[in-house]
Amino acid sequence: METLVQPSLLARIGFAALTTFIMFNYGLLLMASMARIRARVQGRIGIRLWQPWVDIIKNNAKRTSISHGLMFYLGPVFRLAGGIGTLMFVPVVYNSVVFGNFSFAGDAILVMYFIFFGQLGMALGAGDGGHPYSAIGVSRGLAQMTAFEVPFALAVIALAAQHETLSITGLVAVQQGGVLTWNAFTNPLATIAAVIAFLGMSMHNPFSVVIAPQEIPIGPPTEYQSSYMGMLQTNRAIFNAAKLVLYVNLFFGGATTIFGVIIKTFLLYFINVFVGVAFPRFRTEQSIRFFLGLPALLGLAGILLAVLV
Amino acid sequence: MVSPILSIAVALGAGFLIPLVAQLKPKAREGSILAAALFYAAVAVLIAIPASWLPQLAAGADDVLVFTAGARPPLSINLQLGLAEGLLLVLVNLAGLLGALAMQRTLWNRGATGYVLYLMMVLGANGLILTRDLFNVFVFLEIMSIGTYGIIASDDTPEQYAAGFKYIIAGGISSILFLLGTVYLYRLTGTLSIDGMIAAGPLAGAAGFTAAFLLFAGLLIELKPVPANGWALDVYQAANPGVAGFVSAGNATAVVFVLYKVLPLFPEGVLRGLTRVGVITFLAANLIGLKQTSDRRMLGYSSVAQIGLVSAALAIIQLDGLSGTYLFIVAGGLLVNHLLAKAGLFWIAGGAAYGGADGAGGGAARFPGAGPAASGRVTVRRGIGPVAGIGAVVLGLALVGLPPFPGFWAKWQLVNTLVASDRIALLVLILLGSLFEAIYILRWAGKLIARPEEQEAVDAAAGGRVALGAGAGIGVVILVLLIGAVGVFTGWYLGLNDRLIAAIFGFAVGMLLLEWLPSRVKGIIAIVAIGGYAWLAYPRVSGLALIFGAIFAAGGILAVIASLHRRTPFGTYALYVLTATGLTGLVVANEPVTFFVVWELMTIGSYLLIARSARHGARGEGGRAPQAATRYIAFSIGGALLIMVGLVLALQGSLASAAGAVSGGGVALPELFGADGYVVMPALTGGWPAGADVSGAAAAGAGAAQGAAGAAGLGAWAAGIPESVRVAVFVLLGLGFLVKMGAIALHVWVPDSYAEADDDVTAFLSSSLSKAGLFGVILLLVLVGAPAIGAGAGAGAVAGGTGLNVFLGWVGALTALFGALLAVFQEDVKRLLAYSSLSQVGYMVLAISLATHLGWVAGIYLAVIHFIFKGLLFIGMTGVIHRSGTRYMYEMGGLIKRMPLTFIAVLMSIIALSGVPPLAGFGGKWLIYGALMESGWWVQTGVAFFASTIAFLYLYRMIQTVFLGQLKDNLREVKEAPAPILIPLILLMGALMVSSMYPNLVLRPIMEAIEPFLASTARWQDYTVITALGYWNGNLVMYVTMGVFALPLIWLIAVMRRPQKVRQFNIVYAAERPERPETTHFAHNFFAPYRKALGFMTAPAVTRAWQYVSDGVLAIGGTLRQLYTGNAQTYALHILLMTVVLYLVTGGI
Repeated sequence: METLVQPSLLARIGFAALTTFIMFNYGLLLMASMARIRARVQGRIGIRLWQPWVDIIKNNAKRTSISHGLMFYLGPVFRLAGGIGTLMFVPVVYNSVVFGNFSFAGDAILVMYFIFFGQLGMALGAGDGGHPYSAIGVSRGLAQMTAFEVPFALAVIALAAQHETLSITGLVAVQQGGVLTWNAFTNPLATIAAVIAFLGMSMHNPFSVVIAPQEIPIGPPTEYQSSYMGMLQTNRAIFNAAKLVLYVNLFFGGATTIFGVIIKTFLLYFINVFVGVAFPRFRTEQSIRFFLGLPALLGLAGILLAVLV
Repeated sequence: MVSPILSIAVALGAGFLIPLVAQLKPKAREGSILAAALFYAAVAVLIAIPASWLPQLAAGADDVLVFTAGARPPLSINLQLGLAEGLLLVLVNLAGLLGALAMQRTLWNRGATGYVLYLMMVLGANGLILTRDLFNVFVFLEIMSIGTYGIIASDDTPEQYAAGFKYIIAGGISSILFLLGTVYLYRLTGTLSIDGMIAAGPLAGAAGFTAAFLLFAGLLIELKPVPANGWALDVYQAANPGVAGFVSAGNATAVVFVLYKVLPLFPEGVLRGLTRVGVITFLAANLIGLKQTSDRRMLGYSSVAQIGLVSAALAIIQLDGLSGTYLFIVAGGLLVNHLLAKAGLFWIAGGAAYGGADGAGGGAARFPGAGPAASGRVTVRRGIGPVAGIGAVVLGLALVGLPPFPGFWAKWQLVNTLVASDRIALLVLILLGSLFEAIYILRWAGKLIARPEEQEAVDAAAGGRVALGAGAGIGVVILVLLIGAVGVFTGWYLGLNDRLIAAIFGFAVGMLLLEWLPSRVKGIIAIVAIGGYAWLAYPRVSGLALIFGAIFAAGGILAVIASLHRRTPFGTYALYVLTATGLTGLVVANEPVTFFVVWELMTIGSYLLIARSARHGARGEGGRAPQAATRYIAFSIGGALLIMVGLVLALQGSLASAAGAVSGGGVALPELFGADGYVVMPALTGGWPAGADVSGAAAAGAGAAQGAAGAAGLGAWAAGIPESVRVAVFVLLGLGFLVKMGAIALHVWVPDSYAEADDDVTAFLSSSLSKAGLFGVILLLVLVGAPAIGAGAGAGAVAGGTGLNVFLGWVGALTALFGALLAVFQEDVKRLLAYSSLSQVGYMVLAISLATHLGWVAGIYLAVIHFIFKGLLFIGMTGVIHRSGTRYMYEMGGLIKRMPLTFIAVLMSIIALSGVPPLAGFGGKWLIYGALMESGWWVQTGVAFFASTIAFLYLYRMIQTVFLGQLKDNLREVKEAPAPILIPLILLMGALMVSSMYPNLVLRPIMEAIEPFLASTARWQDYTVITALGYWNGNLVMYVTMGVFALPLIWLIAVMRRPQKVRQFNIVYAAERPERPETTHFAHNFFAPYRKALGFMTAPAVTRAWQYVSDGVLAIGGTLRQLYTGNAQTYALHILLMTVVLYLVTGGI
């Protein structure tokens, strides 16, 4: 982190806004394209590529909206703040002043915990809505989250053990010696564990019971509509992008240009779709048992690998 | 001053006169009054005569010798009044006088006979103490026995006659043996004078042995050893409590003193036999005591046990040739302690059993003498009066050997001796016995003082509150004052003269004296008292001690503020002050014995706070406070005994090495007093052992090998102690402290205690008291470092082998994990928070056990932040429970609408607890992961991380089901928490915000405080703290978070055109209509899938294991108990068999 040229605070905020804007649009594009791919696999035509933008604009333009109380009102704010904040603490492009964001505020642990910020706030807002399905969704989501965080955390610990740093920039730096220096190759076990965890994190099949998108409305956003919904959709794009960037940084060598980021994250995200269309949905307790089984063991093996090698 | 022989003359004279004056007007009241006056006057003179000699004797005058018939032994009988005799006579006769007052109605009804018999009993005891002539001892034994035998049947019940009969049978056998022994000894030595016999030199040959043994056996029976004591137990149970009290206090004391006089006559084999019999009696009687349901029989077992312990102590003293002060403190301390405590306890037991039972309005005035002897099961009455309550507690605590009472000083010294002389088996048996005794005595006392709510109606119907009669009441007050005074004096005499330590005691007693004030006034005074104590202590502490002291004192103050919302029962604030100042005193204590005393004071205070807790909520859930308190004190005392032995071991080890390794370096090891092995322990202040560097080199090197830059100060104090001893010290102290923290496997007391204690008390227990153990662990690591077991163990912190701190770390990690898992499945919010506290303390242990700079920073930072957020949570929940009247979360819901401020407080605290940035809790998480990884504890990091994600589950569940979701109909009118609860909430929220914005305010002092021991591996760059692995700028994170939060908020406000407020049930409900809040609020069994997946890990295996232990112990006690059939012949057989067996094993073959 010391290697960066330190821009002024105002410039930094401007750069951060730019990064957010780019990642927001990229995230939406990613979602739309993946939705199309999934549709094609299932023999449908799918949405138009610009549909997510339309949805957000439509939702924000709704003339009516309801509120169940202050916490309900703040829920999406927390959620979006969590998404943007997560992005802020991740350096999107290695050694870039423009896309470095505020990553000098903290290391990988900060990002791992900041991810919870939005989830917690959203869960609280959903709870204030008073709808039991929201609470059920949160209960499932949190339960699943504790499980998939285990392989993910173990993988990050393995990286820390391997490189003796938790700084994301530092971790990217050690992967700059070519493809074979990527953590995906120097510690494949940890990477596999983390990627499996990523499936859970993205809440696609087989881990989609949390929001159960095809059934009657269930999951945290049950009661949300209008601008709230718009914000949640905005967040989904940014948050997804932030997590993808984090993964690319941690395991796939980071990126030195914004195009590198886009290619790598696209491919990484594709894994979700690939697995998602191929597998049916787990029940919550099944996914908990799953994550605490083989993926967790892989994570431990990754640590062992890092310590021994 | 008159000759002591006049005591005997006065008693005898009164004995003859009383029937005479009673006969002057046989039917009239005057005669009885005259007889009573004469009786009480005689007992008073018995006190006055030895008392008049005391000043002179205490000043060092020679013993008063009385030669009867003007001749010297062996021609005459001689009496001796020394300091020991004088003190015992005063106390025994005082017990006699008070005991008579306690049973005054019975004595009055019996008339002259009762008075004479009682007086004979007391006279016998006096004679036994005074005389130096063996045959004269026999005479007085007989006088005492006859008096006792007669007075046992004072209430004319069949049980009493039966008990008296058994007593006389046993006494007869005892007399025969004693007399035979006396005859043989006379034959061998040509004198009856004890001094003459001793002077005649050791008794040679089989004849000599047999003579000594017969004497020994005769006395031993009077000492009621297991198993030859069935008769005594029946006496204790059946006799009037006044009589039982004196039999236990007076008779037993006199016989023990005779034993002491003739000890030099016994050969070594007999003395060893006496040691074993005494210790076995102590253990077995206490074991059986656990099983008792009749309280006076239980106290009887305790008496038997205590006398066994005194006998064993006397034998050890004789064997080891100890004398002087030691004799006074150990044997005298145990004896006096028992004498004073047991008499009062018997009277209170009598009051509890008799009073109110036969109601009819006169309940309050009725006391021991009034009713029939209750030999059946005890009906422990609630709502006992303050005198009886305080008496039961103080005397009970004294009896089981807790500071500051004389029994404690005796036990401390005794443990010292046993450790020094490697009598480990005896030590273990004595400690086990002490633990059992503590459990049943305090279980009983705890039930007596439990809050009366649920019994009020019953008691009112049964004739009002149970209280002691005036006589017994006065007696109990005097005994309480006396035993306290003796204890404090002993402590002072032993050199424990720290005023701040005395102030703990003084403040609590002062609060007790202010009980007549209104509740809130007392609360405010308590706040001032705790604050004042902290202010007094402040100049003495710095560094770590200051940080912990602040947590302890502030926690006490905040909890007391919160408690102002309720009307507190009698004694609450005295106990609050005792606990809070005791906790604060921990950081002031600068030597082991002080530390231990304060530790026990704090434990006692918190135990009583729990025991005095009310039922909770409108529905009266819970109400198991006494049981919870018993469990707490059982574990606490078990832990404390381990700590005691650990401290003693460390002390003796360091003393042994003091002359050599350490003395050159500046670690001051001045002896505190005598050669008993007391060493000043370095205080946890800025003034740490400067000489740490002397022997710290090894530690530093080893620390570096672990990845730390150098454990400069750890373990220096104990550097000269052999590794094996250090391991033992580490294990003992570590276990002791872990008990207090409720570490996994030792945690079974935590959930109940936290759940059943009054809500503000729970807040205090969790936020402050749980850190006491942590402070202890830090102290432990500083003092002895982390000894290693396995190959290549060196003197360093962690050298070769496996450092014990690694085990400690795993205990912490597993505590964190299982605490969190258990919290997830609780429906009761207080139990949820209790398990959460367990989990959090687990983190702290894990961090501290690293024994690195960063680890300690993490652990102590967590402790500080945990203090803040757990205080918020528990105090917030105090308000919620207070308003909603329930502890079950599924009965709440939607309270955000009614209690918004409390919601914000709870919200902030759960963000902090879960470690979500930007609040200060994240710092704790970040530090601990950094510290763990820095030391290569990778797997532990994973476990800690898993535990921390589980925390999200229970935290969300709590806030969701309490504050969010559907508001219930019965809670629609609930108000925001009252001001006394909001004030601490606001203060704590402020503290949380400030420490989140500026983490350096908390972190830097912690880092500086640790640096004397462990070199820092972290550095600062403006607001960024940088460690070996990562970096964190809490300040910047806060600003970024605020920024990214503000943007969407502004956007939403701009875009959202006045959202329509909808009503509670206006939700998207799949074309159905929600019926009632109860069916719409998703709360019960919130994490059902989680239970399906991981519920098996929360099976109460540990609780079950402890249950097996407890059942096993009780089963053994129950089996042993069957020895006592109640049949006099069986009892006689026991006595004979024991005598024969003892004869054989002590050297008769």
